[in-house]
Amino acid sequence: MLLRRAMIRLGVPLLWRRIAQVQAARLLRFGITEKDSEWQILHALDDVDDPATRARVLQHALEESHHAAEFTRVSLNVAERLPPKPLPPRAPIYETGSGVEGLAGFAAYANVGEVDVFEQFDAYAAGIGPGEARSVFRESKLDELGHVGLTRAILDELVPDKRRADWLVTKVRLRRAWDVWLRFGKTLGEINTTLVLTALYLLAGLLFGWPAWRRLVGEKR
Amino acid sequence: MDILGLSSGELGSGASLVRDGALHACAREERFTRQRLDPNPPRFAAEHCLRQAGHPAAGLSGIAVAGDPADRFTRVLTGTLGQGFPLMVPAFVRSMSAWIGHHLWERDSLSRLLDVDPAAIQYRARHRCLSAAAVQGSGVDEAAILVVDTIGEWTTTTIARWKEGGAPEDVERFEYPHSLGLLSAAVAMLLGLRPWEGLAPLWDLAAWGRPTLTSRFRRVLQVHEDGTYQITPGFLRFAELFEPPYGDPWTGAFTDLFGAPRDARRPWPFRAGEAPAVVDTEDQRHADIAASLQVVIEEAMLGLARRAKAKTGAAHLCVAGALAGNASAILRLRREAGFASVHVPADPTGLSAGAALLLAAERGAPLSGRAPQPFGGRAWPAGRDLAAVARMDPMWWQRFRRRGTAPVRDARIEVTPELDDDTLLAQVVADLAAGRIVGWLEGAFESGPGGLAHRVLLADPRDLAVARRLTERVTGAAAFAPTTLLTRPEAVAALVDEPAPTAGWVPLAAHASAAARAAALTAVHADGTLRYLPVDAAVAPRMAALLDRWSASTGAPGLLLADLREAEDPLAASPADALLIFMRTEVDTLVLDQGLVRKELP
Ligand SMILES: [Fe+2]
Ligand SMILES: [Fe+2]
Repeated sequence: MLLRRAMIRLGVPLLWRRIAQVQAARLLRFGITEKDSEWQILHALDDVDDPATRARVLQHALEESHHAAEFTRVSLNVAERLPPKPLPPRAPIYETGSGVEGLAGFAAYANVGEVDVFEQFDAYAAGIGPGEARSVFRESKLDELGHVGLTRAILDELVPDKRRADWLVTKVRLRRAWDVWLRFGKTLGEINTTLVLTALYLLAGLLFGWPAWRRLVGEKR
Repeated sequence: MDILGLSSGELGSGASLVRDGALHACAREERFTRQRLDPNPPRFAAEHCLRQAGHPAAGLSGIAVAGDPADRFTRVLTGTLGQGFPLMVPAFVRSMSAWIGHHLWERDSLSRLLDVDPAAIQYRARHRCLSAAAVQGSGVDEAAILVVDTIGEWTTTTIARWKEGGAPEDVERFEYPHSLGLLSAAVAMLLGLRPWEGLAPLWDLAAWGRPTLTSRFRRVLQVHEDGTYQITPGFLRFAELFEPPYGDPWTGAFTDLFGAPRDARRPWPFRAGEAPAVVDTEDQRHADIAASLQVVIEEAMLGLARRAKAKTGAAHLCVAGALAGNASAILRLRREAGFASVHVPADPTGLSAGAALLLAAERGAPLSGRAPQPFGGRAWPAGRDLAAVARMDPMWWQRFRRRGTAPVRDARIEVTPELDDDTLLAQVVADLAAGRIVGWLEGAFESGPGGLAHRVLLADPRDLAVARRLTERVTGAAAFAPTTLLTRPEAVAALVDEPAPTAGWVPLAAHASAAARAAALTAVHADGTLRYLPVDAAVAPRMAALLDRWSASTGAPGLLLADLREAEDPLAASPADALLIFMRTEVDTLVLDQGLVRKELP
């Protein structure tokens, strides 16, 4: 009885805190992904001069920027410790100077991305309990639905031939399937690397830990 | 002769172009990628520099990269193996994965990025780059240099001497793990802040605390009579800070002294410009930790500065590195270190500029303290964004506004694409006097960490309500951080109670006079110092003209200054970035070069 109480007293807060930490990290990652969407849009916008298109696209960027801010905000309310903030290098989908061709490719890519994001947010909104995070998922998913329409409309303007526009979208889908496969392979590789590095660390520590310690402590300043 | 300098890492990546020994372009990667302190290779900043150069990388006379990877690698190995073995497995795995994943191939990836031969890329030690950056804009021709950094390869703190025309010469170096910057980063984390972004808030927080824990900090950081210092082993594991995501860089002995880490969600009760309300003991203790650290950091920096004086005999001191941004410590050096003047460059962590300047000096283009280029970033045409916003309906913005901001559903948006300066400045002065918040974007963006005159937010410094609105509903900055008073050099004397510089490239601190306390509410910090930035008419003529008009019309000695940015974002770069801030926040008037956008609420 006493043991059980002790385990709950010790285990539950630890577990909860841990889970909160994972939730916070996940929410912040959504924030970072949304920020990347905003950035991709603004990056492509740099090559767009037409004021009407700029107005539409600026509005889209505003919406992604808001999603990013909201996910970041709720991620900071979840856990005691700040969630890690990975800052991956930007990989522009639209390469500056690649003209209408490039912009059409970007619109197709964004279109597929928006569908994916909608589905993800929809699943999260249904799967997690009530709270701030759920309302952010719920509100954002509706915007994403709007973005699916907007990106398709822009794609259709850039590529009036519907069959070619569809083909661009399919190409992006294939490309993304390939990326998922690559990511899977990379994760496997990372697990392997972690194991090898841990073994290496222990071995190196036994051999060189003492001289390294002396180097750090022995150095007067 | 064009030389490109590149840097990457925890204090943010960047690129610089030095033409005939002077900075021609200089930008941080974060401005382009919109990720604050982006540590990745500076792809977009380098593109910007080459665009400014007008030729591809093949036309450069040299490419210098800050930081020697081989030395860094040995430090990472020694650091992870020598402290806290075998608990440092995660830190070791993180570090080695990053090295295997990209650091080891940096030369190749940079050569591909720039399309040059890998052999054309030269590495320069990080502390030497910072030394070269330190003298930029000092206006002196001979100085002692003090670089107080987080960490380079091994070097953490450097004393150097410099004479116009030559490269800085090292006089003395302090090595890892004895780092004042890493100690500060660890304390920032303990107080629920991020290690690098949290440095500035940590120093601002110090003014709200009492130095009750200095004796405990002196056990961790020993400052000796001769100006040297030492971090005592057993309290900190800095190797946890080598690669993100960072682990806890302290041991049980450290938390025994200072307590468990603060809950990052907990709001701070301190507000700039206001007397603290009831303060919880926990919050007070955390502020006391910051204040106590500040005291020992100041003692250490003062010791180092005096040591630099004794070793070099120089009349002037130039300070760079992450701790050069600590305005209170710089004030202490100015008052007590015995130098005729103390300078901080526009970009105290300007590694890329330093690398390029250093290589240029080696190639015979003398390093000079002449005015730097504080606006070395990119400029965009604003016309197309002004035309775009004229077509937008603020009703669309409503759902995507920052939390807690006033509704704009029924606002009227007034866009004037082209105004002469006379009309524009008159309108801006009228708006500021009416309690409106003005966003100001002009020409190329700032090279350094914050907005000086080209990417700034302005407001009436006498109005506490507008200052609060600015932090709560625009920038999201910590409420305890003081604002800066943007002013003219000739107004400085009346604002401070001690001899104080009338030129500078980063916000300065000096004891506030009674006049300043009455006229610049939130720019007077809790410790009684005024935070101010004098605007030089030769460097920022339009901003100087605005300030002159403002003072003539209202009698106020300056304007409240904040970075044109929102919350966790970096400083705005393009007009589109500025417009997004305008749409999301309570910025009421936005200046885009000669254009003006105004929100008129019903
Ligand atoms: Fe989104
Ligand atoms: Fe979206």
